[in-house]
Amino acid sequence: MVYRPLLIAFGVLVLAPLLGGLLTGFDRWLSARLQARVGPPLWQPFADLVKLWHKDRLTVNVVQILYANAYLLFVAAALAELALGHDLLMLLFTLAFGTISLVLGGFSVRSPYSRFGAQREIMQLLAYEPILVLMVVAIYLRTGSFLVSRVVVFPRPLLPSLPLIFLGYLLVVVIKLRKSPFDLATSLHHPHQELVKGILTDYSGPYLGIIELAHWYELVLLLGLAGLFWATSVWAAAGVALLVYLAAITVDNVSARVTWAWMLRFAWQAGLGLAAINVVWLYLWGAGMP
Amino acid sequence: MVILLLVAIPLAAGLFTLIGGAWTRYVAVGGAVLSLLSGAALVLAHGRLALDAATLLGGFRPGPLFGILDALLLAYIGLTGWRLRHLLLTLLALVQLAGILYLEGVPRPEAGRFVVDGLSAVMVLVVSVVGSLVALFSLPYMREYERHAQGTAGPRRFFAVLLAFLGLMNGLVLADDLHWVYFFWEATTLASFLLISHPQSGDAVPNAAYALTVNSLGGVAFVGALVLLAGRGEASLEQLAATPPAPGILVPLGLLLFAAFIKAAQFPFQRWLTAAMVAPTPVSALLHSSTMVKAAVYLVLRLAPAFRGTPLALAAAVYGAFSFFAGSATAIGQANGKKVLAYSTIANLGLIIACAGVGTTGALAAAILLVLFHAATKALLFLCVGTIEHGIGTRNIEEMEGVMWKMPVTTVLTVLAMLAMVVPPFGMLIGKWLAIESSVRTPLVLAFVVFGSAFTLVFWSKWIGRILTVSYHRKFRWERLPVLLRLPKLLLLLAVFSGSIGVAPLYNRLVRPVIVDQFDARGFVRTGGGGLTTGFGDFLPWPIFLVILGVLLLLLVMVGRLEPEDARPPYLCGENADQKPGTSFHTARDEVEIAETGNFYLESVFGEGMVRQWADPLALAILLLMVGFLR
Amino acid sequence: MSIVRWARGKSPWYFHYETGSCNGCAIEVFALQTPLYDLERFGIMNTGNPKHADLLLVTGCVGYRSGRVLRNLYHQMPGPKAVVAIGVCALTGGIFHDCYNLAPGADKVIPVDVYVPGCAPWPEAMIDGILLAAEKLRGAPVARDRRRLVEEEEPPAGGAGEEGKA
Repeated sequence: MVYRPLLIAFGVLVLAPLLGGLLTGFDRWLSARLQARVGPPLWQPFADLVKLWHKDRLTVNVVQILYANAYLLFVAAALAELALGHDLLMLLFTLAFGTISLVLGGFSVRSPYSRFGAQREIMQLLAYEPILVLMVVAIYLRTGSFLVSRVVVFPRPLLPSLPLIFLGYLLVVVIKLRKSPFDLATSLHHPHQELVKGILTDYSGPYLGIIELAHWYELVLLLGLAGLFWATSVWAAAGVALLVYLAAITVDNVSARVTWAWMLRFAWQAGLGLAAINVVWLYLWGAGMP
Repeated sequence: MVILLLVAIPLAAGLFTLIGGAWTRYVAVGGAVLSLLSGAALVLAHGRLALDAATLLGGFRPGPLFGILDALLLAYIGLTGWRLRHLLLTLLALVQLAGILYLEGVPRPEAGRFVVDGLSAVMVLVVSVVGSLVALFSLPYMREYERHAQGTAGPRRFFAVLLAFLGLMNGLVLADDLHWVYFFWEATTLASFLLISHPQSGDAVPNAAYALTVNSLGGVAFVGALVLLAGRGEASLEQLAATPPAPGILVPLGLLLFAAFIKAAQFPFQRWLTAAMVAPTPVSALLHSSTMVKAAVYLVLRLAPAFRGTPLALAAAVYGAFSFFAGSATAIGQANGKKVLAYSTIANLGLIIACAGVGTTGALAAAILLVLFHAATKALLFLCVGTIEHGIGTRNIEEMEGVMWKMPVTTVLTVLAMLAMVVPPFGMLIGKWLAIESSVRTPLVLAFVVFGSAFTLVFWSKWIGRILTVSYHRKFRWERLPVLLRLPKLLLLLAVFSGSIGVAPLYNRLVRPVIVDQFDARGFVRTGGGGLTTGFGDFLPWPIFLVILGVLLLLLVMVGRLEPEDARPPYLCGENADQKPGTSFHTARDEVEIAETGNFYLESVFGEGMVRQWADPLALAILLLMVGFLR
Repeated sequence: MSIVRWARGKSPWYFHYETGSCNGCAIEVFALQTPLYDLERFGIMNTGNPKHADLLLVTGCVGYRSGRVLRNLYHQMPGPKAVVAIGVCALTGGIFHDCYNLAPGADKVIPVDVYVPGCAPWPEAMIDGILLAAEKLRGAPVARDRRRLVEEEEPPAGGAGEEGKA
């Protein structure tokens, strides 16, 4: 029984890239269809990853590699924490460590493009981190626990009592997945891109592949967190997660990029505002919620 | 024995350095370090101890002695104010002197003893260990400092005050008699003044006088509390803390808290601490981050049981959380490295005060963990920044680029210490985690803490990013530094790391006794699985340490495969020039220029003046609200 | 290692550098992204950054300054990589062939693998050229010391490559 958590963690960490890759492929296919294009096949992200992995290892400095690895492993660790049912707050901190690694990777080279990307990534962190913490607090107020293992056995779905938090979380997902209108630090799989490639400008070959893999983990993690909002059944959770993903893809395809200041203002006014109202509800009428 | 080792010998060592040359300093520091460390070990080995001073001194009651010392101290402060034409300072000293003389005149109870319990053991550990390491660091550092600086007050006075300060600080956390606490309190303030004014030039003396003036305001509040408490027959800190809230007791408590807020440099009094950054780095590391300002939160934590559950507690919690928020916000706008550290210190002290105000067992545990880890981490950071400043001649963050190449070891240490401030699995984050989970039921506190934490991420990652910028180098050459400049840092880092990995034993050994002392219960925080669990949350540091290990192993494998010809300059639109590869590029006029990028500081939002515009009035408003709660 | 070869052939990301011309070819390159031609159905993506790219698309006549940039960009691309020269200006200098300030063709500056003639070439021709270059990527050695192998095989600047048919 001691090995059970290890087995779970191992299984999730092996399966998550498969799922994440397929979802990314789906995203690119769907986006293409929305733009009246044929689009790439579903397995396209896997071809990209294998190709990147077998390119020359060019680097600007040695610490870059450190940060790419740290980003991957910390995001994966956060996912493992989710799978093992640990503390949500600790999960957020671990995820933040991953993001900070990425930021430091952007800072570590003397290219203005990565530097600006890194600065904007920090602003993104500033924009969504309070919303995420408030979400965790709201989940605690509702279920009485920060532990994922307790939250998933809570007898009633969370979405009816946390509707505004859910909207705030949607905003976080759009920012975190680097979808338009918030693809300002870097953008993924868009022919149009900001600041050359922003924070990823000076990664290449296998190191870019590592970051790509980390994005897949991050995608699965974010959708997993979305699933917590209706964790009473696996199918409902998967449905909510899929809805969140579809919403993010739709927003991506119908909006244009905004500036970081606009993002910060919007995230704090709209996202935080909604989350705060929901938290106040919970303080006032926490017990009597549906 | 404990008192001798922890208080008397450091004081004597301080006096000894006044005798003469460099060798006395080495002997005195060595002796004081040995005595402090053995004293701390003794305190840890013992459980609770109550030491009656009269029996220690063979029947002599030292009460009147402290009155005389107080009077001398205040007279010196008053004269200093006169000499510096700081009449407000003189006035404040005179008011305190009048209070003390009044107290000597009226019959008053005396506790007359030192008490070693969980909380003072924690503080003794911090003071003795961090203090020893900083004192050792100062020996080579100050030699270098004196060589560059002109017209300082001289190393003799510096070391005398530094060592004496350690003794005084230990006295402060061990004394049970409020009157004695006051003496040590004022004495550490004076020590701070003498050490800040050490450079004797530029802003040093005015800034030191400013710090002394602001702190004297706190001293006046302290004397006021003493007078009120003498009237009620209270003299023992321990009894005062144990008394259930009674009508009228809140006023002296509020005054004591006010004194503590000033000493902890909370908003709106924060400027004395940032002004104090003109002092040599060891002073900032010791007095203004890890020990003297911690005396303030020590007092708040000590008194926490007395005001727990009263509106005063809520107000203190909100006030501390607000300082955390405002301090972190101001730190974003600072390019001066030491100022960032100062604001981060203010913020963290605020967080500790907030925890004391929230007052559950979990919050108290968070506060103790924060005291321990903040002292070690921040002292380490100050020492590192001091070394960097000597190495490259600036404390401006923007100019620290490339320091990785010049002093790789120091840079790595600095970065590790900064990471230990913001990311899991290090101790500060364990404290912050516990603080957030404990303050969930106090929404206003929670809101400030959440935003403050986000700001914290911003300013640290900006700074780390700046100093870690490097071009490709095959090998880094380690810089040479004297052993005493390097060893204390390594030991502090080791303390932070081992404390974080072994947070479970640390909690059982140091934190739980405090909770048992204050609550007569074990609290809801438990240790299990190598981490902390609360029943509704858990924090396991060791798996994350394993992840860090994994990152380093992967790095080693990948770097091993690299070859020098794999290095490429950064992308500069293909206009890279050959001079200074990596940063230079051809402009549109075909001239070679260096690409430079600055950090965001958002001074129009987070500049010192901008934040003060709203933070000072708001903090003052919370303080005034607190006055309303005193009835 | 057929999976690596497969992946390389299915995911060539290109970086487009316009060395300075009438922009006719450049406009047609942009057209490749539009729904009508939709390069992404082959897994081909546009990146704005040589460090992420497998293919370098060159349009326009190569001046001596833009040649310097071209060389830098090529140097920053990780191998295996291929270059597609598009339009007569990039092939030979076109009507500017004898200008004093131009190199007569991109292959005088960097090794070119596929030549797509035309003024401007049809997008279909460009797609054909890009897919030819992708074939070339697929054929690159997979072994660990590939870099050394490539250096031996690599034609000197200005050497012959495969001819794209228009």
